[in-house]
Amino acid sequence: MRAFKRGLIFLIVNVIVGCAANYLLGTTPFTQKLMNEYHMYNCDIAILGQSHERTGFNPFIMNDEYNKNAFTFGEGGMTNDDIYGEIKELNKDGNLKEVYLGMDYGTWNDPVDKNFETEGFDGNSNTVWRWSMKNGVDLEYFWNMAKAQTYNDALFVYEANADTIRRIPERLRALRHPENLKNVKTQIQQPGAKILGGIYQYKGRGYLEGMKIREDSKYGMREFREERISEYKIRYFNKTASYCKENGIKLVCVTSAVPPERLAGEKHDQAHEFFQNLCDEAGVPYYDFNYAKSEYLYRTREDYVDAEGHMKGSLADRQTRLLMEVEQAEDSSIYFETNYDDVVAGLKSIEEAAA
Amino acid sequence: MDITTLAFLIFLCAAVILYYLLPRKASVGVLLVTSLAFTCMYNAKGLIFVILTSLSIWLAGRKIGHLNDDQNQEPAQIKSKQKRAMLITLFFNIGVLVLLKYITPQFEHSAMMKGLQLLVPLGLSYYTLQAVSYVLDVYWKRIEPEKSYAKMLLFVCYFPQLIQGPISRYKDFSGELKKNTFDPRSLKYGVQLMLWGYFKVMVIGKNVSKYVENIFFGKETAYGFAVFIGLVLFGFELYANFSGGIDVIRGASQCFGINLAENFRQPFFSKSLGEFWRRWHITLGAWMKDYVFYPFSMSRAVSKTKKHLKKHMSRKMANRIPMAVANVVVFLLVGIWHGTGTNYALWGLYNGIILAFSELMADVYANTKKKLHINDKSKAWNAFCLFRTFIIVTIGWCTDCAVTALGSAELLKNMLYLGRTNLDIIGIETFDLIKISAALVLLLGVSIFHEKKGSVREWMGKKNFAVQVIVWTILIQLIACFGRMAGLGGFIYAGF
Repeated sequence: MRAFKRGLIFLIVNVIVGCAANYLLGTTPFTQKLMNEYHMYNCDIAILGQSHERTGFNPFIMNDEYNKNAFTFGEGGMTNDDIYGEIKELNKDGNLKEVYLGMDYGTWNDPVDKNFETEGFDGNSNTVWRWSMKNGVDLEYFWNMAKAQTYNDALFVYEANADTIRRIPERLRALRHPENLKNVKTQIQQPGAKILGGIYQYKGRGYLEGMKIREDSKYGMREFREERISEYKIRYFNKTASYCKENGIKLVCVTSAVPPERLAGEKHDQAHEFFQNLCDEAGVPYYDFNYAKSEYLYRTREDYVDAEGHMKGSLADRQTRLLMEVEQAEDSSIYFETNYDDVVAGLKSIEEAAA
Repeated sequence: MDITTLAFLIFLCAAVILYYLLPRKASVGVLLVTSLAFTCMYNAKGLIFVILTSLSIWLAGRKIGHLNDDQNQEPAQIKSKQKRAMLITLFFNIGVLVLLKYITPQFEHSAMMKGLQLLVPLGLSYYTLQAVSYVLDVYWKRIEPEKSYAKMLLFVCYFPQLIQGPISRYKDFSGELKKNTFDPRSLKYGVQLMLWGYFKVMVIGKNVSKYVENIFFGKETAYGFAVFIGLVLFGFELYANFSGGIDVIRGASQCFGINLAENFRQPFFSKSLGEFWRRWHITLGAWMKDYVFYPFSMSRAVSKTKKHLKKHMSRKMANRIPMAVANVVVFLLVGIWHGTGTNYALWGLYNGIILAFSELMADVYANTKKKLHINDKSKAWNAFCLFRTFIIVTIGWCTDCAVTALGSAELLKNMLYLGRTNLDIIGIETFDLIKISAALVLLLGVSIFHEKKGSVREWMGKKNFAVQVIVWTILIQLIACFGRMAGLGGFIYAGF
């Protein structure tokens, strides 16, 4: 009995310490604040996906110019299974009307495989709803997460590095008063992320505006390979599409435009074909802005913060307006090239003219 | 199922709860069912090989045992039949290992192999050695044959040790099974050992691996001192990952009250290469010593060779030469056991030849030390021996950092270009440097304590409860805060 009591005390102490460390260092508190902000604005439109969606689509443009009360929850490395949980959490009151879902093949690989020659671990830790049973127990998701991640990444969604420790006072200020988030001239941190002073600014509604080019930006090309696409991820995409259909949520799939040199070096035409087929089977529209004609989405390398493809605010605004126009157009095909070679050639000629 | 995953912890918790909830006489059954389930989760086809191995050694053991009791036959006949049973079983089990690990990968692109979808079963290299040790121990009458097939099957597929050892002996394993009592301290020490293992793997191993990859697997080639630093870091990474993994496994097993053999004993405190390999992967070394080295050294062929050599040289040398050859053979086998690449064979030859040379030159070394008035017991000499061993072992890691023997030679050649040293490819960040250094200092402290005083867990267990809570909570939080996976690559030694 004594041993049992001591074991219990030890467990309780560790839960308390873990929660405190999570509050000081983790991203879950910020996600909760973002959720609160979402509800504060009474949003009913969500932009979901990864970091490209967070920086590539401006919810203020949607709200101010097109009357769409939007919010973005894009998060680096976010995977389909987490997004599925995210949608259910956002729709818990049944108010979610529309979802713009980012399609980036970099997060569609098998969770236990280090694919596409990237270092990033699969599955983002920024998921409040992971442990939430109120949206229903998803055993497949839970077991997959349990197998794919170390217990550390699954249980302790925080990491201590020089930046996270140094920014503790700033975090506490931001957590006490959410409006302070806008004064934080850096990326809302994720575990392991470097703080990029002055490169981004948080504008509200989950949106990060890219301010200037990162001089030290490096990017290793990651070719699309269909054989590495995970069946599990496809399954969760289909579950997302079904859930949206059953709950009257309009689902629009998008791929944010990447810098010209990525288009030239990676097999985006194959990725485009893969996602187009997937969306056609699911009966949802798909807009790949890599294929956007230059006259509708003029872009050069200078429009991006980094080589990976996080947009500066000006390009994000143009892409957002184009998305709104494409949605409303009777024939959206006029905005897009049909041939990949034409896309690459068009962008190349812009770069040459700009040079 | 990687032992660092949440899934493994959930599986272990469920197994431990079941183990203690059910009556004591069901304990073997519980362990067996959980172990078989664990094998199936990795690859259900692996179960076939586990059953074949366990059945073959169980039947061979029973056959050899029955023949011992047979009064109707001549001793020579009995011995011959026993030898036949033993050899057939060894041939079968080693044959399966050779076929699946060494031969089928050569034909993996053929249609037949793709159709068979043969995968190397989890733990094949480890449990095959265990199986061989059982049969030989029964044949040499060191142990009685096991009557219960369930226990034999459990010995082969016991899930904590299936992933990367340690390599158990049946006598020790069955002794642990017999204990069968609930001791809360065992559970506590088991969890603490697992935590220490996770610290080594996730804080040291995984953080160091990022820089080893930068040096040896990045876009630029490393030269000069950068190569040496890379080899040093690799040694730390390998030690942290392997010994940490073993700690997790031993800790998990201790939760059931089953103690597995120690597999590492502060190897970097060794003063000779021989001592190093007696402290590193101890169970593999002991296995090789008992089932390869001694049988080889004491075989008729070697005895005849010794007699022949004595006619031409001193008795000492005549005894040493076969021992030297035995060392080379053992290490070559150890290298090949690790993998099919030529780099592994080179590793084996490198260590075997150095040990053989030391054996042959023992008198020369002793005389030289005497002439130079070197005091064996002085601190300076001990420090020199530690440093010398560290350098020899570090250079040997080049075979692990390259895929082929030629690649290893290339690496060593690049290390000699000191003028082209390019430390910038390491790309170490200040915070990581502090983090890794602090973790290594903690590891050093604990290792010194182990070496001089014994178990840290037992020492800590005598402290005030509040102190224990604080210390272990800090360890958990150190892992939580600093133990990130750079990439999901799995355990190096789980690949064997």
